[in-house]
Amino acid sequence: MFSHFKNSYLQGNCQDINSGVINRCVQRAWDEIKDINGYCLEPEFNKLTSEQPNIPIDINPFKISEGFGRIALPKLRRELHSADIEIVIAALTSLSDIVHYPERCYEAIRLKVTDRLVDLLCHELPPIRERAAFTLKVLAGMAMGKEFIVNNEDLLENLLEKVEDEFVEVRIHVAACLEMIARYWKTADVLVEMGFIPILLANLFDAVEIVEIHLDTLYLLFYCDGKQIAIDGNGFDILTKLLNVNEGPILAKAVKALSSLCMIKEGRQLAKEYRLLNELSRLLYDDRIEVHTAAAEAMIFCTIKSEEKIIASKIKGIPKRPIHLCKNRLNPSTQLFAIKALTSLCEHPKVRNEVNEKYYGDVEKVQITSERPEIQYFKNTLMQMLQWTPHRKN
Amino acid sequence: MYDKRVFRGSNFAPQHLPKWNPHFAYAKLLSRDDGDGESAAARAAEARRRALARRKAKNQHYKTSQLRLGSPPPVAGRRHENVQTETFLEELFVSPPVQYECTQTDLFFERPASPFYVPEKTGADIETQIYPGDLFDFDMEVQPILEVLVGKTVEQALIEVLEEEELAALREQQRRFLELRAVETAEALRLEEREKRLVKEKERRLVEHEEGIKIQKEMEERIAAAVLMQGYMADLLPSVIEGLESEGFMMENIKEDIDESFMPWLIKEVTLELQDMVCSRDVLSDIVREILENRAEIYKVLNKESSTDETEEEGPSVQDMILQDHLRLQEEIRTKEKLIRESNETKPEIDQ
Repeated sequence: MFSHFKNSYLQGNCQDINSGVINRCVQRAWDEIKDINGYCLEPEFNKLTSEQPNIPIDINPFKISEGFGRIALPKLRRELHSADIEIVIAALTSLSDIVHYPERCYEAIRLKVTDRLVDLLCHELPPIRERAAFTLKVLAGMAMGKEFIVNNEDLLENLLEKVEDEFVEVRIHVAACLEMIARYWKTADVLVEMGFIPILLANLFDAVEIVEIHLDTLYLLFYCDGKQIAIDGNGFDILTKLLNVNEGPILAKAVKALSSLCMIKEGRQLAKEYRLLNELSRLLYDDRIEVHTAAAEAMIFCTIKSEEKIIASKIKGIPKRPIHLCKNRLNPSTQLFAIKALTSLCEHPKVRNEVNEKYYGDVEKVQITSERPEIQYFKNTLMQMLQWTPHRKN
Repeated sequence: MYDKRVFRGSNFAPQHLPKWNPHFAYAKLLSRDDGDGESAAARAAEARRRALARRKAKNQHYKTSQLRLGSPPPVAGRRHENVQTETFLEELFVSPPVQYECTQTDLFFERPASPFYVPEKTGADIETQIYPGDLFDFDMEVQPILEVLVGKTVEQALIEVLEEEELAALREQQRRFLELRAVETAEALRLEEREKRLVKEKERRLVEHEEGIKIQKEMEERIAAAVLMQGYMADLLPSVIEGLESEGFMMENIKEDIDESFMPWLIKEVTLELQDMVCSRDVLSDIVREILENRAEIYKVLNKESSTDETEEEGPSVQDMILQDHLRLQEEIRTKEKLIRESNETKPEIDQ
C-alpha cells in the first residue's frame, strides 16, 4: 500500500519511521494536493533511475590514510592502536582496501596484523568492529591468513562471541570471515573443535544474508566429526525447520546441509523419523534450479537402505520427476544428481519395473553435456541397473 | 554591431544635437540651475529665440491644415455624419460601462528585518600587483591529485575484481569437486549396501539349507527309531504289563482301561488267530491222516508181497524211513493238539 520509492529520500534518512507515516505527513504538508505517480500503484512500476540521493553527509577524503610504498603497512599497523578513534577507523579502512592485493595481504599477515585485530574485534564502537571483521575476512582469503587466525585462540574466542553481535553489519562480516576460514579443511577442523557448530546452528534464524553464509559454513564443517556434533546438537531438527521458508538460496543450502548429515547412519535414521523423503519429493517439484538440484542430491543419501527405498517407492510421482530432471542437459549438476537418485531408487523392483515399462526410452535418450564427461559413467550405471534381472534357478 | 543604446564617438568632438522638440522647449530651461550666474541678456535672447520658434511652428501647423482638402459643405437642409472609414467596423460607446472598485491597504505593515550591522571600515587599504600565473589555478593544480585518486581507485577496483574472479573460479572448481565427491560417496554407500544385502541373503540361504538337511536327517532317524521301536515294543508289551501289574504300578483306571478296551480287543484278535490256526491244523491233520492211512494200506500190501526177499543184515529200507517219518508226524500232531487244549483251558483264567 505504501510505496517504498515515494519520498525515498525521507524514507532513506528516517529509516526508523514507518514509510506509510512519512507518505501521509508529506501528503498533509502538500495541503492535500494529489501527487499520484507510478510508484503509488500496487505493484509499483520498476524504477529506471535511482531516486535515492545517497550522499554521505560527512565526506573528508583526508580521513582515510592512503598507504604508499613499503612503509604503508607498518604505519597502518602502528595506527591501529592510536589514541585517536578517527585515526584507527581510517587505518582500518585503508588496511581493508590494501589487503585485497595478495602481496600486501601476505605482508600484512607477516606483520601479524591478525594479532593486532584481536581487541579491535571487541571494540566498543561498531564501525571499528565491522571494519576489523571485514579485514579479517580478506586476510582469511589466503591459506596463510587462515592458519594465522586459527592459531590465535583469543581471536577465535572473540569471533565466537561476535557471531551474536547486536549489529547486523558486524554479524554479517564475522559470518563471512568464518565461512572463508571453513573453506580449508585444516582450519575447519579447528573451528569444529572450538565449538562453532552449535553456535552457528543456534543463529540460523537471523537475517537472510547471514543465514545463507552460516549454512555455507556449516556445509563445509559437516565433513568429519562435524556431522555427529551437529546431530547431537539437534542440528537435524533446526535444519528441517528451515525447509518451511520461502527463500530459494536458504532452502537449497539447508537441503545440502541435510544431505551432508544423511551421509552417516544416524543422519539417515533421523531422516526416516522426520519423514524427510516426503519433504524432498515436494522440493523436487520446485521451479528454482538450486532447490530441486539440492533435493535430488539429498534424495540420493536418503534412499540407501532397503527400507528407505520401500518408503520412496510409495511416494507419488517419485520416478517421474527425477526422470524429468535427468533430461535437463543444460544444467549438469541437476542431471548428475537426478541420475544418481534414479539409480538408487531403481534398486527397488517395483520402481525399476515402472521405469522400464514407461520411461526406458526417455532414460536411454538422455543427452549428456560434453563439459562433464563423468556424467556418462553414471548414466551407464543407471542403464545397467535398469537392465539387471535377479538370478533365478531354472 | 550597432546598438542604439551605446554612444559612439568622441567625448570631445562637437556634438550633433538632436532636433529641437517644441514640447520640451523649456526642459533645458527648467533643468538649468538658476544660481549658475547666467546673464539676463542671454536669458532674454533665449526667450526670444523660443518665441520665434513657437510662432514659426504655429504658422507651419496652420499652413499644413490649409493645404489639406476638406469635405465639401453639405447640401442645404442636410448635414454631415461621421462614419468610420477603417476596414473593420467597431461599435462605439458614448459612455463605456464603468465599474467602481475599491481597495484598502493594510493598516500596519510588519517591520522589516533590521539590516545586518556592518561596522565602518577602518584601517588603511593596501594593494598588491598580481601578475599572470601568480594566482592558484584550480584546473591545473587539481590534475596531479586527481590522477592519483583516479589511478588508485581504478587500481584498487581492478585488484578487487581480479580477486573476486579468482575466488569465483576457485569456488566453482571446489563446487564441482564437492559434487563429484558427494556422488562418489553415494555410489560407494549404495554398492556397500548392495554387497551387505547379497552377503546377508547368501548367509540366510546357507542357514536355510543347513536347517533343511538337519531336519531331513532327524526325520530319517525318527522313522528308523519308530520302526525299531514298533518291533521291540510288541515283544516288550506283555512282559512290561505283567511287570507293572506285579509291582503294583498299574493303577485302577489304567487297569479298567485295559480290562474294558484292550483286553477284549486282544482276546478277540487272539481268538480269531487261533481259530484260523485250528482250522488250518484240522484240515492239515485230516489230509495227513488220510495220506497216512492210504500209505498204511499200501505198506500192508507191500509187506505181504516182499517179506521173503528182504534180508535182515541190510539197513532200514525206504518204506521204513517213510513209516518212521509218519509216526513222528503223528506224535507231533498229538503234542500240538495237547498244547492247544491246554491253552483253551487257560483262557477262562485270564478272563477272570
